[in-house]
Amino acid sequence: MAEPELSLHEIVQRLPATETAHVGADLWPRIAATQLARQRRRRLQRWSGGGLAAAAVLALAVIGPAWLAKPTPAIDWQARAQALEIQLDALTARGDANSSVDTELVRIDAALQAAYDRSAPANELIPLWKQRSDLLGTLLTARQQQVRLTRI
Amino acid sequence: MSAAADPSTGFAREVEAMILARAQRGDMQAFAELYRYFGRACFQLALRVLGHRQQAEDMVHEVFLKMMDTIRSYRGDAPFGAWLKRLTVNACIDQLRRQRHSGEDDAEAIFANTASDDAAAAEIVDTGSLLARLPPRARAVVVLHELEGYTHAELATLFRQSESYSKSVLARALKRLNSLVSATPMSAQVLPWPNQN
Repeated sequence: MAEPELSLHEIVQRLPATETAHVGADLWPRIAATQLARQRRRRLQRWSGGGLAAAAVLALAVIGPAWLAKPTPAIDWQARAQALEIQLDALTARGDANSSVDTELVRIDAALQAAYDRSAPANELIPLWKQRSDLLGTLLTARQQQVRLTRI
Repeated sequence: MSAAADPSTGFAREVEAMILARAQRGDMQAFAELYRYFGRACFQLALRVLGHRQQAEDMVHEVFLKMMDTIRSYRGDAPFGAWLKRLTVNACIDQLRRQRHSGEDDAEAIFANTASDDAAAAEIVDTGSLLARLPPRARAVVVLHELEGYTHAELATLFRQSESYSKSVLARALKRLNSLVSATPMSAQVLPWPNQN
């Protein structure tokens, strides 16, 4: 007569238990290193993505400032800030500087960096980029006026 | 659900809300703590399903990276361990799908090229080496159904097959395991049964 079929639990009871395999001690350091590298890469992509967007915004600013002035439902404050910074850099190279505004910029940049470091959500990042963009816009206007006066 | 956190596999450990909140903010120390809680359970499960130590470690690596990416979507509806266990099982099944061999959609074909019982039985020294004699997909079905408590309906969803496929693979796998055990010299030594040790 055929023996009745055993369940896995019954089979397991008939055999010696498998020696417990332990996970390698270096596994967590490897996982953590991969995660940190991924975070760095993502930050870089965000910044370089922002750079491309800035170039696009700058091109639009040259072609049609009036179009830019139209209200849009979702403004890319990061791209706008970076575009303004490029324009501002061009003026600053001619010798204009404003240390108090620069200090404010440094403060906002530090807040942005800290936010990215802890992978802050967009609703925390966008207001910071907006602050940066507003500040640069004000500074750019002021410096453009200075430049014109100098030329006259 | 039947495959919820199970004390025997180490996924049942409760996680402090503070650690989860920190992890959801991307805090690496909190992730390290979660690894300390669940890394071993995750590894043991992957090892049972995949049958290879290196593949199991790679799987833990993959699962924890995925967990870091998706933990913000964890709403606490189920215990964290059960959520992580599901991530692990899904990742293991995906891995088996990537290793897919032709004919695996057919329960009978899965067992077509297995070694003879006598040859295989000689290499069986414990439960791990017994399960290793099963084809990968059959081993996954056996482990998930018999040890981890997954139902055939759940397995059918995971493998994108019918319930009858899962039942058929399980029946054939258990038949093969019985056949292997009876051919193992060790089984003759185990008297009386059940083992009282």
